[in-house]
Amino acid sequence: MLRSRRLPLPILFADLNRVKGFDKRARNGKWAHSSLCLGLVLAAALPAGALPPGEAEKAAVIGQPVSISVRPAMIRLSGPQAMQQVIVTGRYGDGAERDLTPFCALSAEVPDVVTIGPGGFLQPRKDGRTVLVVQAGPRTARVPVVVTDFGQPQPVSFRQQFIAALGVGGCNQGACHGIPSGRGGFRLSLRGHDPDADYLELTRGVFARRTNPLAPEASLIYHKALGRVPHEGGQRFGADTVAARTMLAWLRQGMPNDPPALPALKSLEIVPGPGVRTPPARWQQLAVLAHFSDGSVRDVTRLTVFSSSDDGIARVDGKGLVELRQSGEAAILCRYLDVIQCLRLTYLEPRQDFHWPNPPEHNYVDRHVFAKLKMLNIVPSDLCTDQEFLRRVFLDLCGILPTPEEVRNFLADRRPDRRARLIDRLLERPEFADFWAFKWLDLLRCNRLTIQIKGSHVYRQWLRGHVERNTPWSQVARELLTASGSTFTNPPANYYRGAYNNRAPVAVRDPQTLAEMTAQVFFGVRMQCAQCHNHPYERWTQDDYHHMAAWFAQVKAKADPVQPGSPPPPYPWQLREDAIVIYSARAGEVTQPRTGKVMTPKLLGVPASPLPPGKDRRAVLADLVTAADNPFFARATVNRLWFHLLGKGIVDPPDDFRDSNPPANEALLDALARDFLDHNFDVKHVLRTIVSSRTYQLSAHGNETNQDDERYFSHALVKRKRLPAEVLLDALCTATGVPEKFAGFPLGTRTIQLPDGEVIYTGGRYATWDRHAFLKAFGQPPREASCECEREGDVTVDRVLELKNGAFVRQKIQTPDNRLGKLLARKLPDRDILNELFLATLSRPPLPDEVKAALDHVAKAKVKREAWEDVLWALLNTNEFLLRH
Amino acid sequence: MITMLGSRRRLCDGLTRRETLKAGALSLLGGAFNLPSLLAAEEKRGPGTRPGKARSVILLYLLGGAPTQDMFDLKPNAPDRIRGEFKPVASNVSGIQICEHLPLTARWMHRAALVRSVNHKAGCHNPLASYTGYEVALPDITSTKDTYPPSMGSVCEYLRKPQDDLPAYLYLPNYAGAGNAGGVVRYPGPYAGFLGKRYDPLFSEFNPAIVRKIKGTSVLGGEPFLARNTRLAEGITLDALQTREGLLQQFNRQQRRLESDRALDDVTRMQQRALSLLTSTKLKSAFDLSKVDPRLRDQYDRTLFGASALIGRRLVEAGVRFVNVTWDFPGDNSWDTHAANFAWLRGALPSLDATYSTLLQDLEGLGLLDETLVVLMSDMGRTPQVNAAAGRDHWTYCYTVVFAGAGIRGGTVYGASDAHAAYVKDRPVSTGDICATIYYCLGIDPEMPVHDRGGRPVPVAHGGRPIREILV
Repeated sequence: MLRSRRLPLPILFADLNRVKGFDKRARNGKWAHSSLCLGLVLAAALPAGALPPGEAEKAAVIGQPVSISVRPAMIRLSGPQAMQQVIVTGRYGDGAERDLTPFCALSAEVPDVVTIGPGGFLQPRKDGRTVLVVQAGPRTARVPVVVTDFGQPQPVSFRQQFIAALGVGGCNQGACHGIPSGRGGFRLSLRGHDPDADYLELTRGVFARRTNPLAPEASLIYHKALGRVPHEGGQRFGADTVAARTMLAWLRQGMPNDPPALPALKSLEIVPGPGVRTPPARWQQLAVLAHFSDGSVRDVTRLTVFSSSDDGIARVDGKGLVELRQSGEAAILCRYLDVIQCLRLTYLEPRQDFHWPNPPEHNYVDRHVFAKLKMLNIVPSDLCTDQEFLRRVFLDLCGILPTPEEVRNFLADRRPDRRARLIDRLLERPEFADFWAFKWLDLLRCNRLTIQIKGSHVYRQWLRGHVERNTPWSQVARELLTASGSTFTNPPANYYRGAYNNRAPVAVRDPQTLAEMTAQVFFGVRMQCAQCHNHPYERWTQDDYHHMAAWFAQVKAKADPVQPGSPPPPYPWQLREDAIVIYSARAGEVTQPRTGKVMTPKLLGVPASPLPPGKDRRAVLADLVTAADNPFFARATVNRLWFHLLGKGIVDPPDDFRDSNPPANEALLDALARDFLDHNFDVKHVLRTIVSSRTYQLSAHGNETNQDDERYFSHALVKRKRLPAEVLLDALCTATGVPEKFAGFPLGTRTIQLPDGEVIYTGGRYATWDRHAFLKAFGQPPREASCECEREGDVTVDRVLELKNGAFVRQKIQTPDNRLGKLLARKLPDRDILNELFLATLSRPPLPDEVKAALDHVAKAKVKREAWEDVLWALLNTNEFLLRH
Repeated sequence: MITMLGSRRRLCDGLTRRETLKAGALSLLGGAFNLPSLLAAEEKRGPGTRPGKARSVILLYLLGGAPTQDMFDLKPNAPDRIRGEFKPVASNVSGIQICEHLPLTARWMHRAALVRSVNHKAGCHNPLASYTGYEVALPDITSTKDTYPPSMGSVCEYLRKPQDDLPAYLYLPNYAGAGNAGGVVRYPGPYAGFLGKRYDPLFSEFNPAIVRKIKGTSVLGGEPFLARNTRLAEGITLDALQTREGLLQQFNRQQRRLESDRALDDVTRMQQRALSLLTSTKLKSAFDLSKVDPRLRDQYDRTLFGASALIGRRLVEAGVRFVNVTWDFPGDNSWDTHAANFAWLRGALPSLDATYSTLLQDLEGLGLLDETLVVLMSDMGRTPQVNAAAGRDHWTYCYTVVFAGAGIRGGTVYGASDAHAAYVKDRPVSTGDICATIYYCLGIDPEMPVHDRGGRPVPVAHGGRPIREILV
């Protein structure tokens, strides 16, 4: 039951997006709304699942509550636009709670005072008092209702009501009029982040064509929104909705602008709070309350945009009714104006035959992972075999394959702590430092086209040294953030060096780029969207972005007189080999482009504090970033380490922390971050903890309960663990015994040890630096972005062709004195040759039927070597070789 | 209701929107006016209701900046140093004149639309703008970056249905710039950029050493061929590959013990695609010109461009959605006519004329012209002023793009340049508009968002609008 309902949904959506261009016009003859493609869900467009139809089913949900409670306990509706979403909760004998709002019967003792809409939504009708009677099965609750000032004119706020109505309609989202160029000549600021501009556009734009205060009902915007005139976006809401009535009321009032003293929106409150729901409580109505700076609180449920982080688990409709669809966790995002609040809901369907096997816990990682799995009725896979563990941990910690000798030794080791011993040995190997320095250099954009050859070498040496000595990671961050001086003599200064060109030979990255880099590398936050407008699905605002940029406003560069390099070369791609000097100037500010205000430095999520006079801004920044109470740095770092080991972040993508992308296991992330802080930012300690856990050592082979899980780490995620391009090239070299020669490096230098990718010098008049064709084809990132997403791990046709048919693999297989040649020269029996080839490629001895297939093939062959080359080719092309298990 | 000034775009029934609204305003005097009924009239025609006409696109790309004022937008009355050496001749559509050296093309103007007001701000030799509609000057035009937006062909590849066995995007005869500066230049534009490498085109290759001379003009000769990896390597027969595959299947069986069945669906699909590329005959036979009537080869002209266009036609016939055919540099000289512009064109134009007209004729003969859009474009134009070396230099402020075939209203001229073909006089068209027009013909929403590396949604045509006036 559960199996059949899992997963297909997101996949279906993805596929729809892909073929959208083809099928949409066939579907309705019109450009369908593009919002699906945004991966954002248009709340109003998604109907929630049908409520149970029959009275019998309703009665089943209501059941026999011990008591019911109604929020709020007292309803006050003041003014004609007041509204109130009521939440009815039933309590049951077993302590469980169910939301009964959609199912209970509501009535008012005095008629005509309030209108009671479906779903427990109240609006005033005339001044007076009454009692709301709530009937749920055998239980009744009575809530007093007071309506006042119904006849008093109450101005509609453009910023807080009208724009919210546009938001509910989706009018100002990115797929519609919120796109910078607008749609159909009508342009709104994205999600209303610039109300002043929107006010002008609506009341003055195109000669005020869209609004008509003299005949409000005839206003174009009203007709378009209601779908009464042709509108590419179709009908956005019905005439009797709060959004439509808000829009019309504002038009009728003569389109007033807001007074300057409008109380500001402070926060949103969602009723009820987070929690766990179990059947039959498959529905949850939400109420959203807005708190304003004057202390007032308003119900804005019907002016809120709802969306779900996972529609497969929970869907939410435009009225705030959540339908829980399958076991799992989802975050419901509630956005009113520029404030976003998330509500985490967990839904659990009991599994009749579920039996928790109580697997042993190696450390606290397992405690948290297993607690979650147990709650979700997922049984983790078994422990992986020693063969699998050996290959996995070699690849994950050192980026290399074990040699046949190492495989034999480990498989012969019968000591109970052999895995722990292996982990300890690997953490001390030089390849460990090579591998983890290489991972960080991707993010730090170590690339000679930007920082020159010498820069890339010293940058790598500096970082590798820190990894080898296991320097506290906060210290590495501090050195990067505060670096000054020559980029050749003080390597971390390369963090600030920008791509040079002939016009600007001394280039420092601009404050905006540095802000984005820093947020992404150290906080795991993608801020790019907030450069031009408030982040559309996150709480970061445009102000936050430029506050962040302000930290780097005074970073400047000048030519290094000691290492000036050569004169500018004739072509822009050619290198100059000069150093530059990074320094902190005394002046330099960042202004917010929309408001023109000078921005003070302020860190994401940290309250502003005045800058100590005379202190370098970047030093202050480094203090704040690495402070023990900064929640971002430790969490982002441990999450990244987890991502590299398990193939998927606890927050995933690993550099996309946001409320709407909740961690798969909050407690686990907290515990790792706490441990990291307690051990003074000790990276090796965290790595050892993770690879020692049973969770890391689980098999990839799933069971009935966990094979669809790709979120909670109940089994090894093979799909996400393709060998990175560099590791794959090194593995092909060691497996075949034919090292790759990189110009300027001694033979035997592994790809992981290269300072950057641009290691092929073409020579000649147009000489340029290029990357190794094989690496480029396999997704080696050019290191121009600080995003893990820059590395393309997908299997593509090109890559498969390169392996099956490419010159690189062919040359490795055909080289006469390769591993195969040496084995043949030793005149070993075929069985032994096969064994060695399996150990060298798949790090395991062959299985009986594999032995038979291979030896049969070799026996049939006329030219023995060619037949062995076929075997080697097949081994290098197996999924087992190309993936990490 | 005099406030309702609409845009001036012409509706399908020939009325401009402004005229429609005027008519509505008149009826207001009669008391019958209301906005909904007026706009409901527009709904019947509906701007978005026309289905995509083009099943495929062949994009003929003149790399280097073709002097279109000497080809499709001649100014015989301009002063000496501007007008050039060629004369306009009448085409088969009255009122449309093109260059005397394109006589065969002139007979196809009834199927073509000339857009004479294309311009961009993306700098010289920057094909990124014309392939994507993203008009931003780049710091380096000799290399491409993964952060650039995707080309039109890559968007087609992105939208390719899983069941299609042929790639949706082929790029002939090689990456743009393959003939230039020893092959180190890779002009940006044709790639998938931030969509990911799996949507890059399938590039063919050619031998840059084969250069033909036509009246003193050097052009690349020979034929494009499938890239090294997409045909079987030397010494490996199909049989040998099958044997290896058989062995591989047996080793892969072990896989099933290692993880859930579904984990590797995607990997398996790519492996099947790769294998079908290696073993399928469709692509190979499209590239195999040995059985083509030699007279047809002659008609296409025996240049690399001509052979590529012929193969392009065969690929479209086989079902490929987007084929690009680039006229690349041999050495340093091509459409980048800084010197001896007219001498070069005297050789190149007859060859282009032959290839272009034969392609249209060939497509029409096969019944494919009604479902294939053929676009002839360049990365920029050239200066109105002829320089001291009788050449024309870089110019992005006004040039011509030619559309023909599926979805195109034949015999149309859209936009106009000024008296010197220097700047746009009427109805400027951006590269985004050109891309939007092509997307529109293919039935792809030009506003369809794709996500860049920062997660920002970007409309595929970068805000460009289809040129409805040249569309049927």
